[in-house]
Amino acid sequence: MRFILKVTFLFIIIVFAYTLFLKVYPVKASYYSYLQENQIRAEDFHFGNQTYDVIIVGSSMSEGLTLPGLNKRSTTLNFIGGGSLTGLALIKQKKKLPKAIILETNWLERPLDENLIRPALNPLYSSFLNYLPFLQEKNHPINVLTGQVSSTTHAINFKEAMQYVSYNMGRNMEFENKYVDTLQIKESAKKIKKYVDYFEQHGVKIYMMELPAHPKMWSTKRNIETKRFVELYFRKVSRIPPYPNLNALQTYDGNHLVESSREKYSTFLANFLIKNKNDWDHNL
Amino acid sequence: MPFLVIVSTYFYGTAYWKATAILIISILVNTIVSYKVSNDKKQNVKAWLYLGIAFNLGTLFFFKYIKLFTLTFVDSRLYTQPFFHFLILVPLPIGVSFFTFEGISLLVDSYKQKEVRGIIKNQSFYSHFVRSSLFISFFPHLIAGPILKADQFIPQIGIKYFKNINWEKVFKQLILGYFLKMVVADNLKDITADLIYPFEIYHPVTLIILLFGYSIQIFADFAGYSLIALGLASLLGYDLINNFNFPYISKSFSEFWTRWHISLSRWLKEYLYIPLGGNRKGVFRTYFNLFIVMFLGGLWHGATWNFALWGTIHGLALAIERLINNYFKPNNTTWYKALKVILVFTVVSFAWLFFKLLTIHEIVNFYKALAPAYWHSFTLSNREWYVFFYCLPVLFYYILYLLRNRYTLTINKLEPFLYAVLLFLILSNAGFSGNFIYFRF
Repeated sequence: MRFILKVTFLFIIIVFAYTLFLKVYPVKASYYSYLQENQIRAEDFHFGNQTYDVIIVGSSMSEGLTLPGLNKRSTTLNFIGGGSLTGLALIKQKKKLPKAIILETNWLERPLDENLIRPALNPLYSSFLNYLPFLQEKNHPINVLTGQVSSTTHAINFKEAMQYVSYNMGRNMEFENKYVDTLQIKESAKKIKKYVDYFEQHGVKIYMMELPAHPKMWSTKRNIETKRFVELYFRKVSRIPPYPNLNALQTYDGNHLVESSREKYSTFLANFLIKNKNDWDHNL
Repeated sequence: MPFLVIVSTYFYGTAYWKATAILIISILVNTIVSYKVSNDKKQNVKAWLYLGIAFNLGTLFFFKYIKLFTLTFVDSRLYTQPFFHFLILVPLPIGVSFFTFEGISLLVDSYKQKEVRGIIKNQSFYSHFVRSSLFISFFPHLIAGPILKADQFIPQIGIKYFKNINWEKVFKQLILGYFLKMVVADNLKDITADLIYPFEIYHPVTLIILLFGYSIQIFADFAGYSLIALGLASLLGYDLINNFNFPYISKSFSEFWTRWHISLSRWLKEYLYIPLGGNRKGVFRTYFNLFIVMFLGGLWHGATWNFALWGTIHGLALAIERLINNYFKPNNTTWYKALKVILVFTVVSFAWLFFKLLTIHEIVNFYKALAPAYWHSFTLSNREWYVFFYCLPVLFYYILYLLRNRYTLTINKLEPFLYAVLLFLILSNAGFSGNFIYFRF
């Protein structure tokens, strides 16, 4: 028993010391897996004080989208392996709502990620994370340590990776033709509809955005079914127009845009929002 | 005791409630047969024993291997027929490999071990039923071992007292077990998930680092689970066999198998290798026995030919090692020993690929991606750093073990601090929880 007490005492000292360290020394967040990345993104958004005019919500397909010209007042709340629903749930819990939300519709069926919205829905858990910051994903000791020694993330040979586009696309196409959960798409669409109604009632402009993908991917059973429900539930909601020159965009697996194409699409999206600012920025 | 049996069965049911019936039938049959083996007339005993063993092997074969055999030996055009379709869809009850082996141990030990037979003979059938049920279903070991031997567990069954619990031992086992599982294995799991085709997009150094990371992950996952099982059993007053004894410092493959999954190695040795004749029936039979035990040991892990190949590699390594040892005198210098440790660790790690990758095709592609053509300039990214940082505690754990005799006092002084750090890391750095790798066996 003496040993256990000693360990407990030392444990408390370590907790205090590390909490103090985090307060004094601003750490650089590092992460490895997409689960960590999602967690950090959700926690940063939940605990952050910054308010945004425009927020993009979506899946990994929206990864890296920026809005040049609106940079500081906009953010992308996308989750890899997740979907728009989680982003919408997180936004709803914030005190100040954005002026516009760009809602990616490509992976409409992805359910709410309970883990990511836990701090937003559970005040006690949120307080724990707030007062004991080492519990937040970005402050985990190994993430902090790696952040100090490593500056590069995920060194993949993209030149090699691009050789496998057809392989990756074939795999994704097979998946998207095989696993079509119509019920799940419908359920998610219904839930998203409730959020959309809520935000619109609170003066937030919603834009539905279907991100460009390879034409073969757009015709998978899953995609066709998704488009059907978008049409069914969100007919009256504004749309981001289709990208004018689809041939100029390239993906690395049929779904995800490569960096240069992402930049092109970001510019297109930002230009559209700036051009239509009167529709969503009521302070003008 | 009955309470512990009910709790254990309930615990099993929470994982897969439909399989509870299989567990209960297994307990009932093994109880009846072991009772008969201990109490029936001498001329009937062997028949009961063989019947019981056949039941356990039949259960294991039906639930674990029928699908593999159907897919391998039946024409694929017949799969749509109801009978073959049924065989392909037979579910795998969690822990079936463990409780059938324990059933065999109960039968064989009640036949061979005087102490076990004596205990059973002095019991009423009901009392024997409760004890056998506890032996097979005892929840800390039920799903992924350690595989218990009846002669070591049954004599321990009895009333336990709170004052006899060694709290420090329980605390250490649980902290270390949870640390290995939640911090090391669960974090490495998300990094080694990158070991998927196409491998060519990674530098060969990255692939090797990921493979070594997987080697540490599988150790941390299984040794962590075993320590948690040991801790929980100690909390209830039972001592289970220590399943791992720092396997990655083994200087030979035979030593590796005395340190890795010790309860399985012991089971295979006592109930398969020795009954087959062990090393008592000439050189050829010894090699053959080694080979067949490792082949079946591999297949025990999973019903795919991957696992059989994995076992075959270990069987071959053991046979080659034995052959070399017969002709060469061992060199006892430290450098030579270190070299042997590295060699065994490397071969064992490369063999883990058969665990990690699903098809032989993928394994071949992995090796292809190590070809000289891919050895271009290498940049250290956070992927490699993460593998390093999560492997570091395991390395440190091994170093402390190696230095335990030379620096006993210092290590003892440091111990509370080290456990406090482990506790802190469990709280602050646990990975996203994943299933135990050995649950699928």
